[in-house]
Amino acid sequence: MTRAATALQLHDVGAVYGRSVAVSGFTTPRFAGGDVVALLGPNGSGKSTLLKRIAGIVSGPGSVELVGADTSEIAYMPQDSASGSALTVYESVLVATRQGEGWRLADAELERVDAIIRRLGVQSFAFRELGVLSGGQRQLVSLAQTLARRPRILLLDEPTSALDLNRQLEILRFIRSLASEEGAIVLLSLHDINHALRFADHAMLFENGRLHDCGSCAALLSPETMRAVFKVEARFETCSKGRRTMIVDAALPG
Amino acid sequence: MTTGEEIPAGLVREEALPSYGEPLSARYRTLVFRKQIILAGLALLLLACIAMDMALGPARFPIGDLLGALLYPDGAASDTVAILWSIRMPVALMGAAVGASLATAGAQMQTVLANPLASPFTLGISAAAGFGASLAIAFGVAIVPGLADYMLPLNALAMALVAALIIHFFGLQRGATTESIVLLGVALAFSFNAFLALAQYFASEQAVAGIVFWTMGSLTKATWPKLGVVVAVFVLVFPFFMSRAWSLTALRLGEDRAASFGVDVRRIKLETMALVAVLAAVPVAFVGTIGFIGLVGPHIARMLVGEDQRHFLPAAALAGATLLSASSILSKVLLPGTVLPIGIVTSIIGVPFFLALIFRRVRRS
Repeated sequence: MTRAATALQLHDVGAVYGRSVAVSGFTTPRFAGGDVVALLGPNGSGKSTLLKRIAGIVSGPGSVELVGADTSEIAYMPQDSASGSALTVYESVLVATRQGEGWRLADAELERVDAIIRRLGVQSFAFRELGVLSGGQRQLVSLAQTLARRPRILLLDEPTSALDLNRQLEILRFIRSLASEEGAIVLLSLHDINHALRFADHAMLFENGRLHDCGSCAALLSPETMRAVFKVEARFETCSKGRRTMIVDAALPG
Repeated sequence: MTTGEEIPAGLVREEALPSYGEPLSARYRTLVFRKQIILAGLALLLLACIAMDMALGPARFPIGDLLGALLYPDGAASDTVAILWSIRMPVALMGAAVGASLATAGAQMQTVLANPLASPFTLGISAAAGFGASLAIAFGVAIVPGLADYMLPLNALAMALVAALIIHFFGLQRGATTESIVLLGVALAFSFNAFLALAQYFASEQAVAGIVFWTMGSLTKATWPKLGVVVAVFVLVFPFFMSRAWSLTALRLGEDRAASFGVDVRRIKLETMALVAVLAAVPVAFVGTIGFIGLVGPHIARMLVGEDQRHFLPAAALAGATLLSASSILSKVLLPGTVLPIGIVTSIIGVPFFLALIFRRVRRS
């Protein structure tokens, strides 16, 4: 299946909550289908807000330029999904596919929900209520809801924060393959720099609601940027498998 | 672009737990069918309660006479026909209609406020409607001018809308939590009850008696025209909610998630709260304040069919109608020869339930 190449570019994008400006001045190069972009930065630096702005959940100045994709093909995965719901996993994925449509459920639709649930390996608890799931299970289900939207652009807010190491790697690999094989663009916020080095093509570095820098992970992530943005002393070394890896030595004072 | 990572087939490993043998979609269809059976069962239970409610009363008639008066009113004894058709039937049907309205209102408050303790009664909307109606009873004050004939329900509606909008806009503030909304509701209920007391203080003795009787909640003054208004409001509002079933269900996944699905969250919340005020106020205007049906009904529905609104909403309406109908039966049999005000009966049932909900929340956190 070939589709028009997808592209995404931000032009001086900002986000406003009420009267306070949360993020501003985000201009990026043009990201193309297949790109995985890591949003990196300290807590409260605006990563979640920018993702919500691109998703259209908060408003603000600037423009989000989309090529080869419709705004309805942007899917956003919030950081914390609702915990108290009595919906089952299956229902929650189904409702993600159903917005703005009628009542009758076609077999094909249910089969699609089946496929997504199996793809994320959550079928063994497909008929349990969301409220009784563990944080990690809920995060997988949340990703299933996101994929149910058939997105061309995926905005994932810390998609692996509640997962164990094994699951983190599997999910990131899965997201990576989704971009590579289906030509989707993935923007995801991460805390682990080594995950970014391993799975992302580009990085956006956030500092106090502004874009510190944006570029390829390899070029951008260096001891200098770690000092400037994250206030840590870090070195980048090549591990025995030939992979570039970050080692943090100390937190800088202040 | 490559990151030097070898990419697998794109499948995440299966959980090591046993999976269902049949396709998930088949199992889902089975579960949906089961929910439809539950809904049908609830409907039958409701019909049984309504029938029993009509059969009971201070005057005792043999079942055969009542059936005769019901099916062949022309050939039956005139007093039996009069009592059945003019008193018991409107009362029994009013109970069901009011129960359905209150439970639907409670269900949607719980949905849009994401708050299991929300209901017209617990958040002060019923108290507000009561105050509005008391202005009409005590002083003949019409909040909406020009429609004096409908002064009572319109006053109730106007004040209920005020309370609902206060809760709505408070809920939009960042940092508004489940608990703070409940506290606001308590404050609203206290305030409107105080205003109500003030109205009583300045009202004539005759009006006071009317207000007191009516604050306890009673179905006994139900008439066919009043029943018609309650049913009409329910019949208009309920399909509106049902047509938004998917969007309302999506709200249970969190507002950001629903917004990312394209749901206009602010709009649906405002519309829902306004309609909740209508659904809650009209019954209050005619039968007074009946507590806890709007809280308990939705919880029973949630336990029976979950939160997919396509099933949850009818289940809540049916559960509320059945609960109030059963309470009406209890109000007649608890003290033989007397019909207790139904608001007292529902409170006796509802308060322990409310406390259980609160304690469950406390235990979780």
